[in-house]
Amino acid sequence: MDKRKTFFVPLTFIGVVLSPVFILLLSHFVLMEKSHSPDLLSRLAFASSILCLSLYAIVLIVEFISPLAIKSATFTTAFVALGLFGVMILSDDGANFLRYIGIAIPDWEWFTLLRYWLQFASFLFACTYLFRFAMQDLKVPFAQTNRMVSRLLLVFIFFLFFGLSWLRLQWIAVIAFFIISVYWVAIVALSLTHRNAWTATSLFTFLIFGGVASQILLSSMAYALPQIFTPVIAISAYGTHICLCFFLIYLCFTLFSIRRGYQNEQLASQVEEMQTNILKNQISSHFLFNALSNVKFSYHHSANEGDLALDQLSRFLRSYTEAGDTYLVPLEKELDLLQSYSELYHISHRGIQLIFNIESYEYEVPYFSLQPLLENAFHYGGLDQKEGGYVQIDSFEQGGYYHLVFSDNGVGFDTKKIRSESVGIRNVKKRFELLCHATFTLESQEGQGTKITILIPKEKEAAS
Amino acid sequence: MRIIVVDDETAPLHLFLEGTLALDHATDYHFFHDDTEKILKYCRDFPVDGAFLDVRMPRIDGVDLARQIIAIHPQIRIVFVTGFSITLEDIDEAVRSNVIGIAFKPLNEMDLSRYLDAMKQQKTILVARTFGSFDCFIHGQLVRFSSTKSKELFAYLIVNDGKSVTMNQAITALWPDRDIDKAKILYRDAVWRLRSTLSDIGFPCVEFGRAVLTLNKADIQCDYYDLLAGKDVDYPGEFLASYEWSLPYEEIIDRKLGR
Repeated sequence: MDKRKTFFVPLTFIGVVLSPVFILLLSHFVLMEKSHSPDLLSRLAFASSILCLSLYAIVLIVEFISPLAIKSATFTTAFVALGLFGVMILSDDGANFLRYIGIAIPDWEWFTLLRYWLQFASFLFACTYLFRFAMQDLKVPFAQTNRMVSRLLLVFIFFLFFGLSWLRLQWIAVIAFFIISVYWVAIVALSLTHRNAWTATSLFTFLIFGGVASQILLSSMAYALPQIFTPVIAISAYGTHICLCFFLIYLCFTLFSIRRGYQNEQLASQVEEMQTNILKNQISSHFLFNALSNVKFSYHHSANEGDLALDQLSRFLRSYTEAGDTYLVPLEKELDLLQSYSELYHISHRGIQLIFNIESYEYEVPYFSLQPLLENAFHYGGLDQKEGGYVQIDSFEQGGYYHLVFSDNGVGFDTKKIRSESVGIRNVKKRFELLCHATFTLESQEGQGTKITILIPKEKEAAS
Repeated sequence: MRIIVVDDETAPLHLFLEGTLALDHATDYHFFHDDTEKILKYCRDFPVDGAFLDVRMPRIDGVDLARQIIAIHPQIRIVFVTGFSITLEDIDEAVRSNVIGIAFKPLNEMDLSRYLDAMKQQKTILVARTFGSFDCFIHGQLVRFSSTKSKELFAYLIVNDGKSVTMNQAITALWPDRDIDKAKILYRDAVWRLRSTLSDIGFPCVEFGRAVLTLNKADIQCDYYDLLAGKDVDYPGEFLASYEWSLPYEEIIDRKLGR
């Protein structure tokens, strides 16, 4: 991202500052040239150009200097602006404008031809980025595969234009481009209709793209077949400006909605993080006071026992403070945590056994994911009331999965009556699913006990 | 052997070292508050072998101090003492190679004994006492096993004199009355706990294979081994008091002593 920043910052600067300015001056010049007393249409076109360009400039400058840094959306819009700038400056109107302000643009045929090629290339450049811009929000399924094909097609069309212009037949290439654009638009439109996902943004995109493409098509046809298309030449200049205005309004609109979407996303992830922290803190304070009282109790037995209990608590708390930064830990570490936790709860005094039936342990689990399960078993399992109450942890490998089973022979519960997924368990389930791509199932039978089975795929293990 | 301790608070480490080194006349230890001048002067005047340094002190940064001391004594062995959860990666690379451990507050005696032995460059020896009841000691501290069965399993490994012990052998000895499936689960539990304990004390002397365990006798000092080797030991008549499977081994001892 940094490389892109240093390379593209000057380009973005050109796009941001120069293109609106040039387009504005050009519009003014074209209108002046066309008539000495501008008609209503000219005035409207000119006014809307100024309005849109101001809006566009403000938005881009704000984007540019905002703390969000340069996002790919801004790059894309800058490239589109650059493309359109190219189209403008390389057009006949643009060449005349430059001559008007004193820059000598040669009149030679090959130079004019070069101008047309570059103009077309700029237009294709702007179109590519406009499409990327529109498609990135839509996430069209074909778009992924079509992207490479589309790029190749664009290059092909350019060379077609390039080649055909020797024969003054470049309008064939323009028609081909138009047909392919229709194809793209059709795919996107069908996909949106199919998923019922039409929005103002997508509609706008089609209108603008349709407008600009038709406009270029018509002006090319007009130059190629002037007899048929003479009236078109007159409106084509305005057409470009009006399309441009629509396009700029669209850009502003989209930039703002992207920004709002990004902010919402940030807010949502912050809220989730806060909720996870609250959960962790809830576990912490509730458990902490219990543990401290056990430590005090141990000291009443003997100073040595008290020291041991305090050491266990310290170990546990130390792991707890590390848990914020770590997502996955080796199973061993998590099981050590369980042992510390159980000792702090004096489960052996309460007649509860913790059994580690471990055959495989070379995999990782989310940090602090098994401790809530143990806590649940201790609190709701009713294990101290039963004779020979235990919590057993099995870990073995079978059929390409690591099986991690957490079972107890406590009182169990009716999974239909009580919410089988308390907040703590839900958190553990979610983390296993997200971090290990594991499946998490809970079964319970009243009077018999509870069993939690976690299946962790081996291959994904290797990948993560 | 000369050790220095630098800490802005006095009590815990000081007490421990005072107690432990009271009878050790070969080790000289000196306590400093966070006074850089004094510390460096001492280091320049005397050959210091090891240092316990607090990481966060009001006047100086522990790691910074370490760097300066290492400049004077490049081979010095350092143990950082800290209340935070830091790891070796958090410590400056220049200092890292001299760090032999990090002791977390609240300090516990087992860890401190281990670091002290490492500082003295004394080999770690596990002392296993089989006469009377079974107990193990390391760095002068009693080894705490997390369950009675894992301790019993370790005893079984010890008296088997380094020969491999299979799961079935262990189950027959330790869980003779249980059904085989339950016994296997309890065996795995004991194995896991033993593995955990040995890893905690930093003495991984058992090779944990698939359904077979092998003890590495090196660095284990055992009264039973001494007796078998013909050394002069005081046998009180009681061997592995609480374990039922000790009978055959008692017979071995009786034969050796000619009773």
